[in-house]
Amino acid sequence: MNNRQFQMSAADAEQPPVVTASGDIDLANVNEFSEVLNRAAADSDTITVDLSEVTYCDSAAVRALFAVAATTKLALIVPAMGPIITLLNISGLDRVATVATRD
Amino acid sequence: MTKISGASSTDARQPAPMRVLLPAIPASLAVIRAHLRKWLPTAAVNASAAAEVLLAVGEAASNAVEHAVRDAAHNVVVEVTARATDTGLALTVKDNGRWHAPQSSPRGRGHGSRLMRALVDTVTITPTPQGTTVEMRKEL
Repeated sequence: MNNRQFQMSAADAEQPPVVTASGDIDLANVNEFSEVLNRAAADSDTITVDLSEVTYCDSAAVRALFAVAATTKLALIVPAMGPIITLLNISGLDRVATVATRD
Repeated sequence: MTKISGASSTDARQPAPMRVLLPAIPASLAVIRAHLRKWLPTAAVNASAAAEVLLAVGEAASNAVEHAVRDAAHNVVVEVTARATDTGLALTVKDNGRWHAPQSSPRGRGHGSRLMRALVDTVTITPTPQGTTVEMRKEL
């Protein structure tokens, strides 16, 4: 829950911003996640969100990602193992964002 | 709250049941996960099934927290239980918040019960004026 849980790399000419999340995301800290997503999206019309170090996330995180996907092209990096793929599939987030897996 | 007796710990599939009772507030969700992460390995649940249980219970518990937000008139609590059955796990998530029918389904909302059904084998949701009970079974 420290403020390093959600980090944003600055965008430059070649690279859109990358938001990197780690640990657990739930209703208790999803607003913090949203703030970082919104800051990244304000700088660019496309962002990458790296969730590969996320140990838990649920519909709260999906809602935050849907909100930013309404205005910004979203590329997600998710862990190859675990139920995040199921979460993205059932919610339909995988149809509005590109999804890559990382081991 | 998670008690594991010496006698039952000799049988990996028969750990003492888990029961946690917490205020239905966002901060309780991490406490519920911490209890489950400790308890699930005692029930011989592998990491992949454990992650699915964590998410299914987490969705149900998040709903309980959201019921509580809409019901500020009294203190809402959420109770989570887990026990090993002969063939898997039985899980319950119970709150005493007032249930409201979902209004509409903006994107990203209203997928909770479908998600739970994708993660565990059976899901029974019983909403009453006194609160909501979600019962789940996961075969292992």
